Amino acid sequence: MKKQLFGSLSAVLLISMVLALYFGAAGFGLSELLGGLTNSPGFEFSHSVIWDVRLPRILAAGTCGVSLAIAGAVLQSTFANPIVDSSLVGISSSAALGGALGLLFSANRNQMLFSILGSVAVAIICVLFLARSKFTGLRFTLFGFALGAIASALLALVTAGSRGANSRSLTTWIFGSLSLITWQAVAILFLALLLGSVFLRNQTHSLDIVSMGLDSARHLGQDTDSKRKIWLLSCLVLIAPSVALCGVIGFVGLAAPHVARMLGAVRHKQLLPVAGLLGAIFVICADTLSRTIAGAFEIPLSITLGLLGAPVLLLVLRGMPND
Amino acid sequence: MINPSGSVQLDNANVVLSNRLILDNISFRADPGSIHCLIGPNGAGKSTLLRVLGADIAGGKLSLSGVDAASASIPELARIRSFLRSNEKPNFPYLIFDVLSWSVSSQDLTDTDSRVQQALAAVGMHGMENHKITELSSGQLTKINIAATILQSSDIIFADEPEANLDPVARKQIWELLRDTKKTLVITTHDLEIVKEFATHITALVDGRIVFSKAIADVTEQEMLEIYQG
Repeated sequence: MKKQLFGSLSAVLLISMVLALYFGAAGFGLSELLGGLTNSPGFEFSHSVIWDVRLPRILAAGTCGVSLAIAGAVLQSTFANPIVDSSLVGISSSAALGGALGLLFSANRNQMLFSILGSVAVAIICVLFLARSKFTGLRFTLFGFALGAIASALLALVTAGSRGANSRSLTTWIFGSLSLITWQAVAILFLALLLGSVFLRNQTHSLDIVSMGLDSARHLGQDTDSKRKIWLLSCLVLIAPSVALCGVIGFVGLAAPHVARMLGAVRHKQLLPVAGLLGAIFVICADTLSRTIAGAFEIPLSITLGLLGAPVLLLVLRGMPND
Repeated sequence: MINPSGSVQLDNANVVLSNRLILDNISFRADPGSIHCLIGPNGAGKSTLLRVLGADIAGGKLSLSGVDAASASIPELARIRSFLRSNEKPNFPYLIFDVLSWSVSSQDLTDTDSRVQQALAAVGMHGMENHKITELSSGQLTKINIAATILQSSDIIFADEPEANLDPVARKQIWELLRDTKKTLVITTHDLEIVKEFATHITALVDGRIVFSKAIADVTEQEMLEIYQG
């Protein structure tokens, strides 16, 4: 059953990638799409659009989706709380704060590098606070909420304090945008996903146990203090580059794990890959809608994801039993 | 020499939480196989004492099954003692089999299937392994949690009001299941009828101090009631 689910979702992902390649501001027919993909003579324009714009963007969307969904599932288990995602516990917001500061200080020099360094640096502070916390249960979640609220408030302050073009580009980036993605950015996002996955290798069993509660995991012999650090570090690696390069893409980390569980992938060995595939599908579909639905105007990714993801989550809720 | 497996010994525990003295110079002893009930009014320090005895929080010199708890590793402690999980509704829809299999020691995974079946049969829930843990009633969840402690293979079980939120029949069933584990039990409770029926020893606490700690045969009903009357 799990192999069938994985196969079906992989097929849906592939179809969504093909559709995302096909649809865009520059309308292509099927022949232009194929000609552009294979760089046939006479298809130089479609080749350039597909290889320089759409393909890196689709791959970045997919990689971000996988990373954010996996991080969301890991955070929900680390906090033993199903309503947690990276925005709520401050990792995304602190990465966004750092990214915003990086962009402002870059003064148009290598913005990507400054944004990544800023995101990682500030998100590390948040993760250190979380990792060193001795709180468990609801107090740990509320501690994360407080850190998130501080980071969000500081981010709003930085955005409000910026002027002119800086303010506009910050606002566009904060709400999530893949419009400036390059192949270099795709490579960084992919490396971050790879590194995060390496950290999480062999952690699925412990994540299963801790999702029932930190105290109960410790009573079963899990060294939750040191493992909590590994899990939070993995989330930092998965989330910070994604926020730095694509802005805050909300909802995926919350919704994808829930949909995965509804489809039967509950244990982390299945949950992480299935949620990852769902995350990729969500972000690719949302990004395709963002750049096509309103003509030349590109709708910020967070808005599309919220409008697309909330109904999905409501459907999931309908299928869940009441307490 | 007496085999210390299942023994609990705590000396001179003082616990201060949020600048308040919760436990005041507590010493405690439970022999292997005894059923030791901790009673006392709300706020007396019963749950804190239970966590100190289970090496969940530090306080005093603690020995579990003859092992110095302060120098034991987390996996070692898990082999010596288990805590009965509270019957709060779990957040994620794992199968009962999955949840129970986590309690099987990693050195002993070869026969997980049949051990889980046996533990389920022991608590009267045979054939429920493929049900979701989120779909159980409080009573069923407590039974599953008892099955988990049976699988953990430790000699000592700590439980904090295991009968809470259960109807009178289920309360008695849960205590019978716990007694049938034949392990050392240290349990906090407010149910004095249950205490009289199942306990071998009682420790009464008021304001973080032990008022008495003795065998059930030596405790009068009046003594128990006075603990709650102040």
